[in-house]
Amino acid sequence: MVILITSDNVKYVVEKDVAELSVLVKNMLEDIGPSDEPIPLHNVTSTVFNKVLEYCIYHRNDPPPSDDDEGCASPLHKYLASHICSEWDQRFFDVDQALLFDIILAANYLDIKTLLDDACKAVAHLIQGKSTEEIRGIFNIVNDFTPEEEARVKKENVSS
Amino acid sequence: MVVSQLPTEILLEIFFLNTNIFVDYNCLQTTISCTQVCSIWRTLLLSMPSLWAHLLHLDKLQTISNSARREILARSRNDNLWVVGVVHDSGILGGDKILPFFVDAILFSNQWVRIEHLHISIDAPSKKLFWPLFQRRAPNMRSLTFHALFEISSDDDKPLFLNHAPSLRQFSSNCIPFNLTSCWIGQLRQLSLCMPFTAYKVLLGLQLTPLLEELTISGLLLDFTVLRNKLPHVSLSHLKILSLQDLDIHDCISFLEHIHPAYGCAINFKPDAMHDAGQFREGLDQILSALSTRLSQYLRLHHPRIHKAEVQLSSGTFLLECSPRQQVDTGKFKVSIRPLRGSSGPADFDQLAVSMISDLDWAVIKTLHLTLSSMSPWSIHPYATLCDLFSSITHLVVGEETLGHILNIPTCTNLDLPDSVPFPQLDTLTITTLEDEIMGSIRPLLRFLHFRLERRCPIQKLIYYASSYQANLRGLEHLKGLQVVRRGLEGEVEYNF
Repeated sequence: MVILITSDNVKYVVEKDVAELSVLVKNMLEDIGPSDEPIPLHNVTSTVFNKVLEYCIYHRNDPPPSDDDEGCASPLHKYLASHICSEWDQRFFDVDQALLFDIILAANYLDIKTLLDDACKAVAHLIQGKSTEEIRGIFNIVNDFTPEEEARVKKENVSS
Repeated sequence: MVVSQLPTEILLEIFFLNTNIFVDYNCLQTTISCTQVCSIWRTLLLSMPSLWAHLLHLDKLQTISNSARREILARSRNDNLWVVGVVHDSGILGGDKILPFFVDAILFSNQWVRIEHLHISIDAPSKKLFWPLFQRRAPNMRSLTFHALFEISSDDDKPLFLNHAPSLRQFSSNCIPFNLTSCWIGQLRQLSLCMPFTAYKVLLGLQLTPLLEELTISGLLLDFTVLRNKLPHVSLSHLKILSLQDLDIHDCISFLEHIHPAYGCAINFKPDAMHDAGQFREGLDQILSALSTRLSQYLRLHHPRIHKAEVQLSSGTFLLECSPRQQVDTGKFKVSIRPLRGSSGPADFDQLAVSMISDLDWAVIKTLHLTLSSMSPWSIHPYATLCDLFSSITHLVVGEETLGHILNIPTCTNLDLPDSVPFPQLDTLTITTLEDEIMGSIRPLLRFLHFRLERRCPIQKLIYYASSYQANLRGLEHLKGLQVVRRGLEGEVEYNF
């Protein structure tokens, strides 16, 4: 078992194989050697860590992601190989935007590649096929172009 | 936490995920929309050449001005290009400006060496126009799919890619002449051969492709000069998917006998229909046992992931498809044997086809899509065998005609066997099509549901499609506890009795 402490001082006792899905934790465990010393997770709150933990427990037996894409000759193969998301994953990422971004930051900090990739796909999916105005609305982004700039960039539009 | 607080590299990764022209037809517009959201996003997106290099979908590029196309190409700077499209005589999908752009700006310019993925279907006016294009080194080409209605011809003997395509991993073309002993063949992972080679030349060439993972062979030249027992054997230990399509059945036999793939390799077998019923029968006799062995290995290796089978059996037609949950690295096992139009195939075809799968363990299959039709006196036994084989299924997907045939098999008609029932674990029934109601007779669906109820194996859930909404389903209300789901364009309607 591994003891992890989140930034808001919540203590988690986690099975080692689950904890080691985080490369950050895995490296720290290797550095400190056999020890009961708790590992602090400075940049993750317990609210976000609960979600991260849920993901890691569900995916603990998944084969590790491969960086070798020699077998994926075409982008279609590569896409299909990396985009098989279960219904569970879809439900998992069906959360409010703020939490989704927090999960991304936590996955980035903890160095959990699959969680980071899947969470980024969830955000990309929000953008896919949307118009500029829709994207601004989804993410609450303010249009800072001058009218002249806006008129110029709009000329690039593709008809659907 | 808002999107602007995400680190730049993560935001870029998100943008990248929406730039795959192979899966998203609209990704160019999505990316352009993103550039117009705010100045920060625009600066970020314009600073990423590789992102723009992945957006060259010719069908979409034709909807923008030539200067905008060139701007997109310019934004890609020196990054490797992905190019996808369908080119017709007059341009792409009827446009008239994209062909010059495609040919001049991308293919025949310096951009050629930048192309990483080129997937084009083409019906261009000049057969010779494209050949010089392919007589150039392709240092970055990783996948090439180039199909045309004509064969590209050459006036000289310069080889394809000048024999230099060290990164090529996927090759599929029905029109580009090439030599099966070219050095770039050796690195391929996916190869689709639809050119007029002979079986002998194909097998010789495959000896140089030890890394192949997917192989499709179709449209070969018939070759009677080499006896089958003189053909070379090929070991392809990485081969996971082998497709033999539109080939003479004897060529299929040759390939199955002489290509030795990885254990559990998925086979996609779809031979040409044959005029000569006797020869066809003889070919089937020879090939079905070979296919049975391969299918047995496939099921053994992939059994945790195989959950669904589809079987279609009618006079002279046999279709079998086993589907894994993840199809990318496994592939489906498919057998599709059809008679020549107007012919019904050998009289004992049904029996023969079912014998191919009758010795295999189908306990892993929980969902069965079954189509039985044109029942003949010879069909009852194979139909009964099929029902026995898939005794572990919990979900049956059928048309009502098939249900009628199931009710005629001995398990259902024999009154001396009051406890016997086909598919004893079945709890969900999906009806894809309902038959027209015949006045005065009870429709097969209702007979089947009542039969299950009488034999104390009632169906728990019935799903049917709204296309059959008009059908009269009177009588369902007597089936207490049955959950009914009607699916249609307006969504699902569920009710219980």
